[in-house]
Order: sequence, then structure tokens, then C-alpha cells
Amino acid sequence: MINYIKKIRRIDIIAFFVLLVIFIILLRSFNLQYTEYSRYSDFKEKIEIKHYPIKMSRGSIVDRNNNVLAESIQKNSLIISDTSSLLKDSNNTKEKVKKLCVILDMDYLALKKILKRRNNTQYTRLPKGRYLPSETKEKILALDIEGIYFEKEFKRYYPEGEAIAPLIGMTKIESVKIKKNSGTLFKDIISGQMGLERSFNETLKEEDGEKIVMLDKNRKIVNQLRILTTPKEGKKLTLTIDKRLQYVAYRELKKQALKVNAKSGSVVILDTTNGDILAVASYPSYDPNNRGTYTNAGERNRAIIDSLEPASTIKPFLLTAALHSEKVKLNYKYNTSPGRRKIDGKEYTDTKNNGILTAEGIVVKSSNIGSIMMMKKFDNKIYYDLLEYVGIGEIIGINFPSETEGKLDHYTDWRKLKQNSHAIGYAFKASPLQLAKAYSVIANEGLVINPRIEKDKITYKNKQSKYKNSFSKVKNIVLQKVIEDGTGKKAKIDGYTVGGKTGTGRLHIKKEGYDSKNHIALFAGIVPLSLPKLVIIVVIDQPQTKTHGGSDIAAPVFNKIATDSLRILNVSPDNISDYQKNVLNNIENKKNYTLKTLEVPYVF
Amino acid sequence: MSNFKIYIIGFLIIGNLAASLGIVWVEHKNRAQYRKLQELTNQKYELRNDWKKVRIDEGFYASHSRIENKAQNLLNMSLPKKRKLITLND
Repeated sequence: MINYIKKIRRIDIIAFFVLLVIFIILLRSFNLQYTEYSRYSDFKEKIEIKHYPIKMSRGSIVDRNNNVLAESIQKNSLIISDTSSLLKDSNNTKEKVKKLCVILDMDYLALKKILKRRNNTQYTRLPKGRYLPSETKEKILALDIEGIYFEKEFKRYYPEGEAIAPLIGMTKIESVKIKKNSGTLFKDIISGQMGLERSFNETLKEEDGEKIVMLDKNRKIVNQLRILTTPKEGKKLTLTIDKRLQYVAYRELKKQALKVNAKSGSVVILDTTNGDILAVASYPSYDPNNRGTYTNAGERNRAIIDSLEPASTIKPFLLTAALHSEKVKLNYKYNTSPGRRKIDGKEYTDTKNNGILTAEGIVVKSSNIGSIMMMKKFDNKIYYDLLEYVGIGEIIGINFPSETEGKLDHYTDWRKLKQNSHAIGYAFKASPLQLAKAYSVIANEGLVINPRIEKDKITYKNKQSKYKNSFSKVKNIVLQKVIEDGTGKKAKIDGYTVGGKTGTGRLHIKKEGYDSKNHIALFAGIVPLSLPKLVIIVVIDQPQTKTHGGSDIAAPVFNKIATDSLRILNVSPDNISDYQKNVLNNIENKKNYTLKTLEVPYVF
Repeated sequence: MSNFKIYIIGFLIIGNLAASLGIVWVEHKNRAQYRKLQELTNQKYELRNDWKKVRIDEGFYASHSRIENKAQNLLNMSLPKKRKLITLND
């Protein structure tokens, strides 16, 4: 025996082990193919090779300080892939489905009805099974019901609600038909329905991908075979809006509109230093998180798509054109008495008899008669060129759906009456946003900065202006007097120099002409005037009160918005001397305080 | 058959077996890794989603309207009247 073992060569030992391994493999193959055939074939049947979507979220919209204005949150939607397994008669299944109904807050019989109607379909959604939070998903999964699974879906949230809804807009879900080799499929696509969601849809929209995967019986991906379409996430959109100012603007606008029972209103806050639109409020509004509150009137962003006749708010531009023509000087006098006069066959009135007014006084007291008299002193072309220069009748191009370009007829079409109308802010139209841009030209003493809503967008800005001297005089001398001695007293803010102009326009109804009962109250202001930072435009449409002028209805709104905005933006007071006098008068022990100079940067 | 040839054949057979077992092992490893990748990807999206929720919550809790409301109604706070504000130099 020992001799025999000694005779075995090493090669024979290797051959033996090789044959043994081959035998083991063959044995295992036999075992898999025959003995355990049924087990593995069942397992194989449950594995599915499927086109599987890779879902991506729509881009978020944030304000200038990176605060969320619109965001898509992933939720879970319950899908029933096998209705028959839920309709089984066994007590166990019934019990589970009843528990499911309790979790979803659904009636058991109603669910049964849906299941019967959708019998033999592989994709059934339940109305209450959409947008479920993770906790609910976990609860349902714990029931271990066969024939259901969860699909990812995104829900859009708007944390600022109605305050910014007419600007941001909303999204809609469209069912789009997609033709494929296997047949026609329906796919839900989210797109912008209105507002910036619509105009920036290309930036914000996501692109879902698709991959071929192997799924097990629990619809879990076991293996990825191939990526068919690469997914792309929506890009973030950063706006120039400051949500704090937006809230303040909307709050004050709504408060005033409800107080005076106005039909609508709008507010624009513009940063004069760089053209950033800090707030665009429009009333009425709606809550984009609750589609039930949606109305056509609420959707309309009146600050951007509605154009109106600017009425007296245009008078500072008339005076600038007059000064630029060099045919009028600030101290030239005009006799406007008795406050009611027929010019070119039409009667024009002032609110009162202002007597003899200087060119400056015409704007300060907002005299219509004086404005028309001043207009007749210089060429229409100069006034037209100036209005065109500040952007009246030209679309701003902030990329908002249905943005208006306003209306400005060529000066060669201005007949006498039309010429008179142009002098007092009628016969041409501008949106509140265009008016804000025009006032920012005054604030920058003739330099034009195009407003922008996208933070990263480079905006147009010119470096020199032929109107510099005229605008400078109007800004520094006239607009401040409107607030100090004129129609805009209610816009005065302690500690800051304010410049502005009130306006009261009559409502123009198509075919019927001007309505003597319904008015539009306007106020356009610049603050602080010594070093302009903000231009604020307030428009209140059809206030139902006895006083309906811009000085009583719109100027107080400007005051409140400007006060809060300056505080929020930490803008230093520029008119401390007057302010300090008031403070000192109110302090009993004056020796403790040293209130001296204007070089004070902090307010406590 | 020379010893050399037998060695070669033996080596090829073993190599063949090793390669087959290797493929099975790599495939198994691949699936396990892919499952892991799936889990981590899901975790990434879950975390991103949580981050978005937290940002919305932050927006809600820090909103101007809410703070104003709480300050006025809960803490009885109000903005100081203008005549009470003192501007200091230095």
C-alpha cells in the first residue's frame, strides 16, 4: 500500500483535485437546474427588467439674501401596481387595506370602488395618496401590503405666499403624450404657468432621466443595466428681490387698499444705485400654496403689466425738459389764476387758485394750468426726447410675461389738445415699474440704469448725460420742496431728506372717456435725497373715499414703506440736524447728551 | 504527452475555473456595490430634501411677518416712537 502511494506522481494528485472541482461544479449545476428548479424560476419571474425614471427637482427661486421664495420638496405618491391583490377576499388582506384607508383618511368602500374600476391595470393613483410625507410612507410600508409601491414626486412650495405671488407665479402639471416602441405613454411634466416661473422656465426646469434596471419583487433596484437619458437638475434662480422689503411693501399696500376700499394697487421699490428691483407688490393677490384662492385679478402683476397715465407725477420731467430747452428758468413766473382756465377750447382746472407761480412752484403746487403754459414755451421734441430717454414707451425687458411697453406717441402727432394732455401726464402711458425707472434717472441726475430682476444680470448703465444740470436742479431744489411745502407733506420722514411727487389721475374707460368719479392715486419718491438709495412708487387704483388724491391716499403708504425699508437696509439718516433738535427738545436733562454733527452713522 | 504539456493543460483548466468563479464573484460584488450606491444616492436625495425642508422652515420661522406678529402680540413690543430715538456720535 505504502509502495503504491509512493508510486503516485504529483501530477496525478493535481489531476484528481481538478476532476473533483469539475465534479463539484457539475453537481451544483445539476442541483440548480433540476432539484431547485422551481425555487429559482419563481425568483427569476419576480425579477423584472424595466425602464426606470430618474426624477429630478425643479430649480429653486431665492431672493438676494438667498432666502427661499419657491422650492420643490420631494414627496411620496402611492401607486397600486396590482389591484387584484388588494381585492383578495382573505381576512388578512381586508384588515390591511382597512388600515391603509385609516392612514390615508379614505373610505374603505370608496377605495374598493376605485380598485374595481381600475381592475387589471398596473398603475393606479389614489387622490389622497399623493404627496405623502415620509412618516406616512413608513406606516404604509409597515403594513406589508402586496401590489403597492411608492413613486417620487415633487411638490412646489412658496413660503412667502400672497406677498409675492403675482411676481413669482405658479407651476402647472401637464400630462404629455410620449410615443415609444412599446406604445403611448403619458408623462407628467411640471412647467411655469405664470409669473417668473413661466418666463424663467428654461432655467428652472429639470430634465428627468431614464435607465434600464433590474427590479426585484419589492421593486427595489438590484442592478443597473444602462442609462438611457442623463438627468439634469433645474438651475437656481437668484432674484434681486429683498423678501423683507417685499413683505413691508405688500403689507402696507394691502392695509391701505382695504382701508380706502380700493380696487387694486401696486408698489415698486427700486435700488437707484444699481437698478435692482427690491420689491414688486401687487394687490389683490392669492396664495400659491392654496390653488383655491387663485383669481384672475390676483394673478395680474399690476406693477409690470398694467400701464397707466402718470398724471402729475410726470411734472418733474416736464420741468427738466423746460430747463434743458433753456427757454424756462426756475424763477420764471406764470399767472395761473383763477385756477380754472380754457386753453385751446378745453377747460383745465387746478385744485385751488394758486395765483402767480414760478416754474418751480408749478411742480411744487402741481398746477395743471401752469404746466400747460410752461409746455407752450418750448419745443415738443425736447419733452418727447426726454420722456423717451427716461424709458417711457420702451419695454424694460426684465423677462416677465406680458410686460408692458407703455405708450408714447411721436411728438409730430401731438396736436394742441394732445400737447396739453402730455404736459399734465395724460395721453401717454407707463407702468409703475417704468415710472420707477424714470424716477431713478432723476435720482442719478440723468444717468440711466435699466432695472433688473435677475441678480447676476449685467444691466445697461450710461456714464454721461446731457440732462445732468436740469435733472440736478429738479432733484435737489424742486422735489424736496414738494415734500416740505407742496402736495407731498405726508411723505415726510424724520431724519431723512425725501424728494417726490404726488399724482391723481382720472380713470380712462374705453369709449366712455375719463371718469370724473374714479381716480388713481400715485406717489413717486426718492429717499434719502442727498445720497439716493431707493425709488418707491405707490399706485392705489380707485379708492372709494372722499379724498382720492395721491397726497392723501398714496403718500402715507410711501412714508410707511420708506421708513421700514430704510431701517431694514440700515441706511444712515442724512437729515439729522432737524431731527436732533426735535430729540433735544424732548429730552429733559440735555447735558447728558452730545448731539452735534451730521457724521453719525448709527441710530439706536 | 510530455510533462510540460500536462502542466499547461492543468494550468489552463485551473485558470478557466478561477476565471469563471472570479466572474461570478465580481458580478456579485458589483451588485452588492450597486445596491450600496443606490442606498447612498437615496440617502443623498433624502438629505438634500431635508435641507430644503429646513430652509423652508427657516424662511417661515424667521419671516418678517411672523416675528412682527409675535413681537407685537406675544411680547407686547413696539417700534420706539421717533422722538424717543437718539442718534449718537462716536
